[in-house]
Amino acid sequence: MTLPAPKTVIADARTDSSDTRVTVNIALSGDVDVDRIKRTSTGYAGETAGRLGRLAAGVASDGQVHYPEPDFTANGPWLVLAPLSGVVSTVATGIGRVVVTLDHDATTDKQLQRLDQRISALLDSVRPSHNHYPVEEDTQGVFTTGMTMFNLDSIEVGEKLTATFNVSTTPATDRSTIESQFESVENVEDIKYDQLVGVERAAPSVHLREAVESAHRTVYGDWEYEWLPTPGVFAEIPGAEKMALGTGSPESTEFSEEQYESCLEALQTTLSNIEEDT
Amino acid sequence: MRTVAEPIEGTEVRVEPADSPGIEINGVSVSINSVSKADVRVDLVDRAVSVSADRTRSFVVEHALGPLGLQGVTAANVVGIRNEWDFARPEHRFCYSAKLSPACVVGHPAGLPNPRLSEALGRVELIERDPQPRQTVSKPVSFSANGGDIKLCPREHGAGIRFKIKYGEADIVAEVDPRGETDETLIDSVTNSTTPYLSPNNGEAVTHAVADLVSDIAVIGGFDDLVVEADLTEAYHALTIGAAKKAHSSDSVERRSS
Repeated sequence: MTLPAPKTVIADARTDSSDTRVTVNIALSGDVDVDRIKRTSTGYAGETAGRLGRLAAGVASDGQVHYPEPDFTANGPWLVLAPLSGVVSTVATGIGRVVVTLDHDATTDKQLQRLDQRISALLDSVRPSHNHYPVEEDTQGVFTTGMTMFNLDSIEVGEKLTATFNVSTTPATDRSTIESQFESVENVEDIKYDQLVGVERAAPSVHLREAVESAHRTVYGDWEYEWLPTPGVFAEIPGAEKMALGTGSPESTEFSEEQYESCLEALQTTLSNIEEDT
Repeated sequence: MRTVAEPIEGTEVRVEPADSPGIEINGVSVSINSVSKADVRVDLVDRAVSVSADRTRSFVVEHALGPLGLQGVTAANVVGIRNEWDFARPEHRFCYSAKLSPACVVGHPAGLPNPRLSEALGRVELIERDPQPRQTVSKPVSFSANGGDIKLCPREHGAGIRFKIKYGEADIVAEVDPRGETDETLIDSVTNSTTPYLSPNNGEAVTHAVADLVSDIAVIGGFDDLVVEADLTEAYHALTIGAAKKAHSSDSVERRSS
């Protein structure tokens, strides 16, 4: 068994954070709930097992792990460990929030059927659609990762009907595309949209890009890019010299020893490439 | 070689005449050695450049190469012409991330083997000159990948390729001459069939697969006369490109002049 005990990983990650001799910084996308992770005969299991496995790979590498809080003032490039199934990322989608107010006074209009129709119309208007792709069945995000997506957060019914949606945004998202989404809905009085976190598009140097791409070609035979589905720590890191990589998938509650080894190999090869070319 | 007499346009691509044999996509010569990815799609890169300078990648090339092979075009310069992003497409997200242009994606947005390109190729004058040797295999080549199986068998000079393809419960037999004429009804049916991932049924998927096999075995692999028997599953470009690679690496390619 290669994988260290969960609490050992956390302790080592905290120690690693104070080692400032290394010039490549490693951050983790998401928190680890170590008390709810078990080490099994094949890897880690638990809601944040993937994060722990990637953190363990970071600790075992020669980079400087920043855990739990990254020191954003640190010098050097950043590698963010994320559930990317062995691909690379330089882009994270953004987050917005839209509040749609409808002229519907539930204090005087007691017809539940009409209320139901208005809520249905709102939900229908934000359902994803595409001319060519089956986006409604896209549970893996093959297509929807690149689409403006709405997720109902709350509905308030009173003198007005107010629906609040969390929005996953892309570079193509703007206020007019958000507003046009509700064009077909009757009785819309007001639409308020706030971009909370913009799309983050890093512009790493050729040096860093080559190190990461070459490492992935070495380990996986090819290099591929995909977007991070949430901004997270990637968007918080200031500057352009950053890329994300890692194994595992976002929804999985298991992280295998093979995924750990593969993540470590890609990370270690990347670090070697950076060092060789420096 | 057979090339177009004048430039034509299909969906996402323009096809320009070539002065010498062979097909280029966005400046990269199409060959088995230029394949960088072959699973759910085929991507090509210029192997002569280093990874850091590797901004030569073209994506979903089978949708452009299939129609060229079906229409018997053996020399052409294919240029991507897309200039707007569609981020629902994973390949566009790849390009945006890697600072590549959307023109690098030459695949059809609806997952079709470019029917508009095929129609344009059917209308344009084709110039034929400098006959090139035709290729077959010197012995049967079998290959398996992702649960699928394929066998390439020798065929007489000038006979073209007979594809016998199975996908799920559906199958198809198609005769294609990648250096000559192919039945127009077959071409029309194949180029209007969507990729298996988007197909409503396996019958349409297996019809689409004819274009993919023409792309991978004939155009990229360089074979003209074969009998191909294929039992396809998911991500079958690993199988078809893998078989062509195996034929080349096992010294089984036979060049024959008339």
